[in-house]
Amino acid sequence: MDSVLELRGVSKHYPGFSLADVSFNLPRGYIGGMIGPNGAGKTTIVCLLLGLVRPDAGEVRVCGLDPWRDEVAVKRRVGFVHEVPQLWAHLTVDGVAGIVSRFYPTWDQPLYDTLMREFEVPRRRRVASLSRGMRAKAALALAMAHHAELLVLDEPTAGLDPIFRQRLLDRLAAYVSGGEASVLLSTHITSDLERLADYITFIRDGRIVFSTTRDEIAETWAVVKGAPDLLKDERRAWFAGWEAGAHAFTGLTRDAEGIRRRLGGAPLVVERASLEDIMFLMGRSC
Amino acid sequence: MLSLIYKDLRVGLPFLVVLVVMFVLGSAGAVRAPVFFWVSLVFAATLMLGLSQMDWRHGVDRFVHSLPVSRKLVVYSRYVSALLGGALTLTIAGTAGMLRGMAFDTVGLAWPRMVAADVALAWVLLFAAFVALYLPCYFRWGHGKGYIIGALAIAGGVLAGDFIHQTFKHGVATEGLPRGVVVSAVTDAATRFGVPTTAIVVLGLSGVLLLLSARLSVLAYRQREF
Repeated sequence: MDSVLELRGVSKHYPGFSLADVSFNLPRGYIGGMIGPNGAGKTTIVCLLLGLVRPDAGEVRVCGLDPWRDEVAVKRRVGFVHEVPQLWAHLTVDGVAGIVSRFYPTWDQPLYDTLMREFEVPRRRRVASLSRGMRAKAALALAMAHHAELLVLDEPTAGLDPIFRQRLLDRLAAYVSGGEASVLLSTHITSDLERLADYITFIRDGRIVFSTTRDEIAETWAVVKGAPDLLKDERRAWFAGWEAGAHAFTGLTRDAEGIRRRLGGAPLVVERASLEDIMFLMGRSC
Repeated sequence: MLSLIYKDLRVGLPFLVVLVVMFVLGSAGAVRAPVFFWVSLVFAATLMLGLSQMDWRHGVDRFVHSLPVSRKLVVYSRYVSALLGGALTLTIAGTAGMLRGMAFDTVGLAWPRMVAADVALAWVLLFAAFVALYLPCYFRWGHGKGYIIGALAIAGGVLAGDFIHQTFKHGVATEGLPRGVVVSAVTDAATRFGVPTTAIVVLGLSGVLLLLSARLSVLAYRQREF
């Protein structure tokens, strides 16, 4: 399958933080989600994809091109929305669009107009007077209006009301429906990804924990709950992460049936793990 | 490149308007004083520094770096913007000087010494040196550190020029002109070899300085990460 983005063995070292041997890809025409705690390395990956930082080792490909060497060609194909959508505060939204549109030969003014109407952004108001959510909407419209092959959205739904968030997710689903465009979403709001993403990449401490399809995650990962006395020391290693309270323990595993078997007839509750469960429990041991 | 220059002008318009109005008003009154030479240079440098800081002050660095434009073009457009600022300053200062000169003419007074081709050439050379010193620092170290190092480099250059002038010319300047080794050298050269020859040398030297500086900036900027 043709990949719109691909990282192979990518490492990047900063004082106090390292991205180590990161490999994953996103097939063209799909929505990929990147999850992980703060400081996991998600934004560094976004910067690598945009050619804003250079990998120390490994290879980054966006639309088949190297973002560091082929910076212009890559950036023409990518639409980017930053975590905190900063635009020139003293300009109107249309003023910003007037600047941005000049950089893209594929800029589609009617599409921009449609998006502005759909997102209900007051075009003639200064950016400074817009709420964070409105700025995010304006930034999204700017990123989408040049027919980007890949939308890279770093926490795009933070600050948006639930109604617009749902509309945005529908919009993104429609955006990729033609099979040519793809979206990479980096977010903490895992419920958005459970609804929308085809592929999920989980990153923690600069390393990829897994990168696979949403369906596979749903089929593989489970949460096991039981009485705390069942979680003896030697059994803790059975879990990818666990949390024990006074009345129950919760463990994350890829082998729920195996654990059930090994614990004999002990009363256990086994549930499908949500992305939030995985993020919360992975590597936890207390 | 035009998109980048348009961005700079569009984003920096309020800042430009305020500065230009202040400078126009200041020029009308101060054009006779030798210090006006330095005031106009500081004005042009402020335009350059101000425009280069604009994206940073608005916090849109990462957004701007995600726009499809090569680093080389970013560097060259910054030089073009700086030179446009210099041309604007020289135009305002020259116009103010000529208007004052014509007013003096009507009452039988001589034109201000500042309004002369040799002084303008000295100004051009100094401004080119300012740009050539500041922009590589800006592209190498970024907004905060680059701003400080660049400003210090310019200040160091000015002080060095003044020191050389003090040492070799005993600090004596032509009447109506500011002190400084560059002003003194260029006006002397114009007297000795004529303005056209001096202009060729000064413009050539400025061009070489700017080209070398731009090359250095491109090399520095290609290594930068954001």
